Amino acid sequence: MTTRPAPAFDAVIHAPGRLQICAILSSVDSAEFAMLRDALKVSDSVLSKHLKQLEEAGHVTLTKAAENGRQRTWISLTPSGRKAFAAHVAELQRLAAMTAPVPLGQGFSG
Amino acid sequence: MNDEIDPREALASIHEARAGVARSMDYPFGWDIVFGLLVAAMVTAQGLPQISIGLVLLGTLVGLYWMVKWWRDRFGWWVSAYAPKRARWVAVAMWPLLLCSLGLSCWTRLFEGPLWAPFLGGAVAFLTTIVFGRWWAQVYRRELAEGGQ
Repeated sequence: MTTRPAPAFDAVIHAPGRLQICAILSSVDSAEFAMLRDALKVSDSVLSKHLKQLEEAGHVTLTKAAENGRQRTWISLTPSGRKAFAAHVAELQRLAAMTAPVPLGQGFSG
Repeated sequence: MNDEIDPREALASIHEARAGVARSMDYPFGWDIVFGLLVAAMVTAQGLPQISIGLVLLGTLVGLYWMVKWWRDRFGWWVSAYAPKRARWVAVAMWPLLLCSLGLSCWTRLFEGPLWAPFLGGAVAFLTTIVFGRWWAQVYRRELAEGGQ
């Protein structure tokens, strides 16, 4: 049986770019730097900055490997990063539910 | 950069990022066939003389290495069959059938079973791998599209 993570807001993950990075990384085991850059449509330096912040928070690990004669960087979520992202998504869902529009006929009738 | 985002917008961007991964997973049917052949070779080899087993296993491991490398080069990401929550059960469900095909193959070598048994085992493994491989991909894509982790 799987347990739902307790909702917890994570300021490092919450920034739009980093949120998307974590969303992609939570779907895979690891992703390459160029794939993330293209998916987010950002420059190398912007992505590096986001990754540095996530790495400093302990959410991701970066692994460099020489492939086809060039250096490639593979990024993956750490177990704690995976938990933090799941908790952040749970918090977003909680907040979204709180602000959900009341369907007609279910609100105050006056 | 504006870091203040609405929870709905944030959830939508997560959904979109995951859907992008699902959309990118467009791979040829040849991938399943090659994977099926490698698994079938591994299974069939169990019914062959001892010397062949080592050679076939070595060959299949090299083949698997190149398959993973091709995938990583093409898509820029990798996911193991057991990582996604829902799709992993498809991978788990494949094992009883693969073990049956393996048993069929081992029957010949260990208990002097018929010569066709390892080849039948290999054929079962080949089909099982292809069917479950496609099924796994379908469940994984749906899982991503629905926003699961």
